[in-house]
Amino acid sequence: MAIALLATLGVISLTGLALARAERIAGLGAISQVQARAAAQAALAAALLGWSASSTPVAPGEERQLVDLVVPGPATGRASVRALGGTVYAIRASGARLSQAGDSLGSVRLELLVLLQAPDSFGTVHPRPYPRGWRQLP
Amino acid sequence: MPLTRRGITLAELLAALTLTGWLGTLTTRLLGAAAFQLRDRSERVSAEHNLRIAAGALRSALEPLGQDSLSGADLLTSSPPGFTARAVRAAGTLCAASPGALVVRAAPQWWSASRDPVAGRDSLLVGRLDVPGWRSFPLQTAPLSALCPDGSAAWNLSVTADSAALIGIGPGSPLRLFEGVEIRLYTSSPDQWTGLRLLATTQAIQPFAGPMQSSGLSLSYERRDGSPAGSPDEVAGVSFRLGMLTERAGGVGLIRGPVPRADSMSGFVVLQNHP
Repeated sequence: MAIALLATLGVISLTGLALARAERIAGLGAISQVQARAAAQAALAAALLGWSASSTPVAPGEERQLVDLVVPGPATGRASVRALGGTVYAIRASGARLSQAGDSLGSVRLELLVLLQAPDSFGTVHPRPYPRGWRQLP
Repeated sequence: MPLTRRGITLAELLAALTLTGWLGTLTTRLLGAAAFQLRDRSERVSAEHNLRIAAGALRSALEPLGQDSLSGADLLTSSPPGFTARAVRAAGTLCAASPGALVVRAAPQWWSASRDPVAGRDSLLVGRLDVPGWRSFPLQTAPLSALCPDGSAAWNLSVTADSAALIGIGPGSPLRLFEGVEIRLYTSSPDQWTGLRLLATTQAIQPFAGPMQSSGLSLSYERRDGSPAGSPDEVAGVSFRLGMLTERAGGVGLIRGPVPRADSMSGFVVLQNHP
């Protein structure tokens, strides 16, 4: 009877521990996703400040890296501008929350369509958002 | 004659039975309490998971909504227990446009889709290059394979559009493929669930979170200044409250769980494409 009792308690305890572990993984994933999104949004915001006119891509599909940053987490953010072949350009930003070993715990990719204004006196191009241009990439 | 002990006395028997009964009761209560806790906690974990799914689905559906002066608002109707809206299923970029046909680049770095386009169910939003804004076209037939003028792979999307409707649309125009969806609270006796329905089909509403409390999905629509929005095109953000109930199917263990417990979550979603 004692063995059966101990075995039953063991099964209950192990099931509880497995549930707790699954919850911990889900919680870590949710936090990592938030941190990755924050990094992507930071990169997108930095890109919206503008870039040198010479960095503007020309050919359809051509993409130029604009921003590379690290935010607390640590999470990394990157943004690039991509020519679509017309007057509308796409700024694509990505964020990734990395583990200490460098593995990705969560990642987010965002896109914002923009129109480009003429370069200012410093040769900087300032983008302005195109209506309904924001989307989260799959 | 020496006295020998055979058998047990009545007092010993009573003591043994009492101790065995006490140990048995203690063991049963211990196991019962542990199993009850496991059932209770696992049902609550499941309900919290349901809350996260529902909140994530609401955010995914609401966040990309926007509007412009040419094609109107993506949020079609709004009410406290649900809403109807345009849901984007694919996105791409045109490489050519002519009356009746839009040619969209099909290479993976250009075309991203959660599913293939379906005629009669999907519509298109195409961005103008001359003035910022989108034009809406129903998709007439299933997409056909085609080539862009530069020889790269493409989809030919058939639409009813003459040259006047295509003013400002051409190579480089962004494209969104969308369908109308409804997300709302509904009753599936005896419970309430949050579900999604495709407006262009006869499909019944499909649940994705629940069971929920009475009025377990409550949405309030706000203007940019935080005041209540009077119409869908005024909505810049949506605050939501989700009330979820635990259910027996969500837990583990053999023991019967407690009566359903309630848990809730509140949040606010900013419509990223609201001007």
